[in-house]
Amino acid sequence: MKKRIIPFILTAVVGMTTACSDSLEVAVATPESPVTQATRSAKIVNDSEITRQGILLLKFESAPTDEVRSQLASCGVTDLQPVFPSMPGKKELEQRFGLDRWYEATLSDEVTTDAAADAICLLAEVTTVQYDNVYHNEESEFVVPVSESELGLRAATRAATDLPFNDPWLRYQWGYINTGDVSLAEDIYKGADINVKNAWKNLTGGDPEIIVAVVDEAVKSDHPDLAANMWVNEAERNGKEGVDDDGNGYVDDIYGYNFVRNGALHWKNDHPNDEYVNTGHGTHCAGTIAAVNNNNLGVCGIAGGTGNGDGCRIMSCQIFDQKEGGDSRIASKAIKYAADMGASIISCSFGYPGGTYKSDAAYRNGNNKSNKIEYDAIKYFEASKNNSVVDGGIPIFAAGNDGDPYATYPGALYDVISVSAFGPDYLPAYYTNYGPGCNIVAPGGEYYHKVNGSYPPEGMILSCYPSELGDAWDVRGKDYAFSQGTSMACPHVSGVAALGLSYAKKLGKTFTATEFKELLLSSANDFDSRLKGEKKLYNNTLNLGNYRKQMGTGSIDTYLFMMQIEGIPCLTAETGRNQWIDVSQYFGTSSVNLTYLGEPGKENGQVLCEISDEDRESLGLQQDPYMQYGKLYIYPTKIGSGKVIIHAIAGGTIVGGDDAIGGMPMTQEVTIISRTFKSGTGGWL
Amino acid sequence: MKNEELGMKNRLFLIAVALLALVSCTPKTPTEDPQEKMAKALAGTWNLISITETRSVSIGSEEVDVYIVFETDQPEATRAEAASPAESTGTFTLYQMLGTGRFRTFRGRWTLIGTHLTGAYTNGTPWGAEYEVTLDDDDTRLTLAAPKETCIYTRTTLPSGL
Repeated sequence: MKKRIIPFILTAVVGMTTACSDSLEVAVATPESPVTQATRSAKIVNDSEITRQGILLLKFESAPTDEVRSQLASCGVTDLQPVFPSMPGKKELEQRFGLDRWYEATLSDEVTTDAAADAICLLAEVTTVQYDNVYHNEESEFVVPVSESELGLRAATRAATDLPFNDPWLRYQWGYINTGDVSLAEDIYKGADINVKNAWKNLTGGDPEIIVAVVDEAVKSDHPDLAANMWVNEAERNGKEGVDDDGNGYVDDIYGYNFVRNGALHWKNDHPNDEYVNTGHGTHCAGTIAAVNNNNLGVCGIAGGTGNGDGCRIMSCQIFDQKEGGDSRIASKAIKYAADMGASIISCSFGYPGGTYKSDAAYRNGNNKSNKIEYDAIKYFEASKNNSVVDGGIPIFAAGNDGDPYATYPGALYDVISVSAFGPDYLPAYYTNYGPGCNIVAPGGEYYHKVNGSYPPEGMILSCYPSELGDAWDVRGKDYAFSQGTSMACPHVSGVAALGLSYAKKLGKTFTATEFKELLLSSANDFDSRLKGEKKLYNNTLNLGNYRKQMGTGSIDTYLFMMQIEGIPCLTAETGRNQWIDVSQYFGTSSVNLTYLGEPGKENGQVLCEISDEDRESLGLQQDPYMQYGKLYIYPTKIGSGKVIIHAIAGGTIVGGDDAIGGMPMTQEVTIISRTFKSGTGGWL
Repeated sequence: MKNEELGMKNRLFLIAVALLALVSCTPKTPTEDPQEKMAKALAGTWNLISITETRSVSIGSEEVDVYIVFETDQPEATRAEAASPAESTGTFTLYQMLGTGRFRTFRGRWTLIGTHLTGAYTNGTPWGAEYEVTLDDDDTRLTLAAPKETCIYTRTTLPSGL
């Protein structure tokens, strides 16, 4: 239906007076005071590209009165409802981040969304007007479902290797344990993985109290290799169907909730439009995080346990359903739900199209003082403590698949972890975003890697898949699939983070969320030293030099992360000798390529580290220690000890913020013990 | 005269036989090689109790917790493989926690020549120092003296979990 502008609402311009009602205080523009133009700009936090029409998201100074509602009706609003149901016991937090003041306004067909926005922003009681932008999930152009029999045939010629779990398809999951099996990809690089094997063998496989919310398409809750690790809302499972048994505002949310249909999780395809399909994206991501381990079935999940029911749990927060949904309102509700229902991590393989925003301020509030609804929701999640280890939630996002030299938002926010992708060749995947805002890199899989002249799917990431969905030939019944994307890299990091929380809980360790993220990002291996020349893959040619120092801190290393969780690394130095100490074992082997923060030293390239006066005296330092060439320089003249604090940037050469996309500042602390001698291994003798 | 000479010879012969018998029957007193004795006493588990400079198990404000398990090579192996019969060899396992965190494990081999102890880690890296070994009379206290640092250990058992 063609929309027309209601006659008594005029787009505000300088010199005109515009009002929805004579009885409310409204901004009035005059030639001397073009406040109307400024008011509109100050309140509308985004533009109307890629938005849902017929709806606006409004934030008020306080709950709208009947009078305000009446005026909104005059502006074309036919219905006004709070976006977020209030959670018992969370009122204070909801008020702190303003979630109680966000409303969704349904608009009449008689008014355009733009015209309504222009009119509504003139109401003084409205602090923020937001178009309901639509995200896209970072889905791959390739999804190759496979059956167990197909996987068995493929694996028949491969010798069994020393694998810690009995899941038969772990041998395909090169992202976990990469043995250099060339039957997966001829150019596979041995060791290109997340180094999780010894963490599984010696330290932990997960903890059921750690919940990861997959904010995505639905997770198939009865998948044979996921069901045992699904989070369960016991009050709803044991309650009455059709009743909100726990009073959280959602009905029958047993394994999570479908925020698109406001009902049960839905992963099948039954839309009348054949182009509106579910892709299994959420199920695939969930499998990487916590498919059940050691159950003699299927695949492994990073935090899927050890076979003793000790895996982390998956909560499905569905924001995409057959190409519908995925807008700011739905994503924000899902993120708040995750916070309220106990998730410690949100794994978000979605974002705005690349380049939509170029700074935190532009994304957050359009360079104005009001925040977007999803920013408020992310902050609410970060302030929600849902485990005994960290004081808030950990959001992890995919960096984007546009091949852009920057991460997409919201992942690019400076305090949110954004994950880029590498292929089985341990080189940047052809599709991955890189550069500012990209904090760390993980296996994302990559098609087009040859084996005997053909292109098998094994270069991609194998994980769980809904058997109700068909493959390219519409063959159904396949419980697993290969796929690629930063969507697959993101859950690798989410799984490692969940494993880290599990281990920290086991040790009784506690951290702030900031400290935990810093430990995670500093647990990385060198990714830059091979970035020379070109990478040719099918029709793609990558100039690898463009990716140098653009892949965050490097490739995530699970075992290093566990070591860091154990405690502040303690290094030995020799008394009476100036020396360089290699911190890469504790700071990641990409330490040589990081940008360090601090006062400059005496020579070019030196960055001073922090040390207390007391520790400086204890070690007898004549000068402050400094970082140069990725190593720590120190000259102790006394037997003693001290803590050295090193500051660096993960994911860029500047810290991200209001002005530009950048990296996350991080801090690593090391303890130095000075003795009369030291061994090359760090051993006491 | 000849009978007297014969009688003297017989008496001397009998005395010689008697002396020979006496020597043959006297049991020998065993004397233990000091090298082997030191190596045997070194074997076992030791816990660091003092770093001479600090006279404690801390350096600066950081606690140091160290356990060393020395094992001696079998005597046959020692005789067969030792470059010199005057040395003892064996393996060690070192558990250390410097500051906070968990114990880290190092392994390798040691060589004792007299009271001089040297060693190397499994990757071939030599120890940071060479030591003079001293044990107290009841072999419950071990002193390893490096040129600039002397550490004292007490015999113990490994804590569970290591």
